[in-house]
Amino acid sequence: MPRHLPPSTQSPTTLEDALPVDAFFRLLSLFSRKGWPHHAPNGEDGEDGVHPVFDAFCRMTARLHNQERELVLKLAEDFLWKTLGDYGFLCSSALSKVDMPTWNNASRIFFVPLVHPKDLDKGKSGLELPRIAKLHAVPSIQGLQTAVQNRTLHCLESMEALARRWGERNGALIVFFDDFMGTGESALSAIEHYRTEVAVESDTVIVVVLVGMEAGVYDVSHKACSVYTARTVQKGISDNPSLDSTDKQAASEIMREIEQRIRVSRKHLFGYGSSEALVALENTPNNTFPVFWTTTEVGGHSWPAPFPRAR
Amino acid sequence: MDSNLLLLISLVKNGGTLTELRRRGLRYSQIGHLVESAIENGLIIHSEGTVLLTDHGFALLESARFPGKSGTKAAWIAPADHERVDRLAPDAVYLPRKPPTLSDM
Repeated sequence: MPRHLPPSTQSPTTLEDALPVDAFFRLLSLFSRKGWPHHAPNGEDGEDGVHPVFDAFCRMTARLHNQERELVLKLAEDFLWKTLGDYGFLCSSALSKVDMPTWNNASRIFFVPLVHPKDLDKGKSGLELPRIAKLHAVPSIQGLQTAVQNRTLHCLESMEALARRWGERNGALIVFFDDFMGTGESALSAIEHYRTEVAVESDTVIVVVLVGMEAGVYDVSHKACSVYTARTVQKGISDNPSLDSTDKQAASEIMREIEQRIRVSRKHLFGYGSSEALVALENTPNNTFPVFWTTTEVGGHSWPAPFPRAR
Repeated sequence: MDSNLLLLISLVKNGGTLTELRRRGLRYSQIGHLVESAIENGLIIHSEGTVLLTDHGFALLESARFPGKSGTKAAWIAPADHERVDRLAPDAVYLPRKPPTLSDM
């Protein structure tokens, strides 16, 4: 009877291993420029100092053809990657843009996640933001700290909790938080729910997001209420100032070919709502180009996305 | 000299892909460590994606290739330990690795 072979010291290779040496050095430079780690301290985040994002970025790049590789490396230059550890700073940056009278005119202040109750079980990554804002952002903003000391600041876990506090809201400031705003659809849906089910006439409402896409922020600002962001970002290809119209057309065509090959679903082509986002936060928004987050199986192997979305 | 480091500086000089280093079991982050080591040892210079072999790196590569007549065979033939396969039983069936194909894309 044939026996099982002893394990070989060689590792079987795939196209993910065939990264050209020049592309590897470009990736090292990219990670260095952006302050992203290319290895983890031993015992942290990966085995033997392996950083999962750098490792996946290299494996993904190896699976791209030349033109595709050029495009993805160019887009990666504009990529914004922030983790939970950055949320306090980003929150401070966004909150510091709210003018002082907005705080001073409020009788009470409510910090609430901007999540429609039907989406609460989807594990939205912005749910922790009210608490982060209260603990880390408010104390870092001098005038705001004083304004908050003279009022009661309530951190609530949901819009339903806000609805239960209707009796305490006479001239209250409602600050809705989310970590990302893409098309603005989710925000508008949540604000619509607030208006029909939760609002008190004397409420003042503002929205604070860490990273917002220009189009979504504009839409929500004009249809609902003021939106404050730490960072506002534009579409990765269509609004890219370093590409002329011919380059944009060529880049779009190359991205379409990649997405066809990695079997991106119709609704996520160029990111949800064709958002063309280049953003990864605690969870990667589905508005980001799927080449960076999809893990669909291609040719018998999962696509090695550097920023896979949490289920 | 670490044979992985020699292979890396050889790749810097001649170009190519990192397949052989990956076959030796190195992950990309670990190859990044190797690059840091090569820079610290003055073998390569890396700036903004451009990488060059230093004179020291070039000399080391040449000495590894041409150790001189006085060198023994062991000095210029490096055992390919990563290729070593444990002894097989007479009735074992050996299936070689499948090379990557276009379907892997």
